Amino acid sequence: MDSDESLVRAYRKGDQTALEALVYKYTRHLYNFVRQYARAGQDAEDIVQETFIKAWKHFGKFDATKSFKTWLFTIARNTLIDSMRKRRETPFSDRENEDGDLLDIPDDRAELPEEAFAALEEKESVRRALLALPPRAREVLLLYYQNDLNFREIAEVTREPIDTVKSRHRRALQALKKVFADRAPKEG
Amino acid sequence: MEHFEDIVGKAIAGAAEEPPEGLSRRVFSAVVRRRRRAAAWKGLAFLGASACAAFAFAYAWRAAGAEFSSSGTFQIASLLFSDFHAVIANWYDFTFSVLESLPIVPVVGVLASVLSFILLAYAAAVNFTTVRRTGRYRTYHYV
Repeated sequence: MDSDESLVRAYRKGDQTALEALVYKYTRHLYNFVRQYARAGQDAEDIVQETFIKAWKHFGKFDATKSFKTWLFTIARNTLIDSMRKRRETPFSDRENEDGDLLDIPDDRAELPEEAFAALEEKESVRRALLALPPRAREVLLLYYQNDLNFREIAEVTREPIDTVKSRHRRALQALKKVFADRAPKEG
Repeated sequence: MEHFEDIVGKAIAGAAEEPPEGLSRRVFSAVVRRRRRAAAWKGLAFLGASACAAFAFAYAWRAAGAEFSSSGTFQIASLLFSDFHAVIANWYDFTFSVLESLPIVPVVGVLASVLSFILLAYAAAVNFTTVRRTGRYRTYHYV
């Protein structure tokens, strides 16, 4: 598959198939990211669609020296936040402070039971565990592990300092560990 | 032993949900539809503006014609046919006389309206071409 740079260049030269290639390349990534926040699949589809329409509208403003993927995820995130605000949902929960940091930081040293490791192999339990996390903590994990963005790119998407992103990633992992530990059946 | 972060990373990556079938095609079709609609509106706007420019040209042309007939430019220019040798001998003075007698404002009006008409009609044509092309456009499949 062609690189983003060559597809962006081709689209700017008038090649319509390049835009289609970009849509096909990133729909799955964006859907996965958005789906974790949208109430229903249809909402996620609408947000993905709106993201690409906004990207097409503002293609002229895109700086080709930067990452297209990061730019696209930034648009998706803003579209998602707008959509949540319209639905009067808060982009962060009561388990986060205003900077998006977790208020209840679990103990990283806690041992994880074997059952919790088994749960990690079930897609549905992983999805449920992710949903149990505060939105911003979930966001970092999704962008990092599902969409292969590095910390610098996540910092660009979320417009936060890279150290904040790194620290949020660490705390999110700790929180996820606690979610799994809490859900594992207690041994008698 | 594998680190917790690696295990969790793989688990999160593996938990990615498959999007509904045909989502990419639907999304791309929506982008094309939006693009087509925007191009149609822009095309109509440019077409309207070019029609205005055409009316402006007609008005400026008539005004320029009236100004020309009273400016004496034609009389001076007619020396080219009646006394060509004198014009050549005094070409410098002749050129200045012609330029001085030109009704500048109507001439600028005519040129500006012609230029506007050409540019606006071109922009309308570009947008209508986009409408026609996107109407025929069939999606390719990259998945």
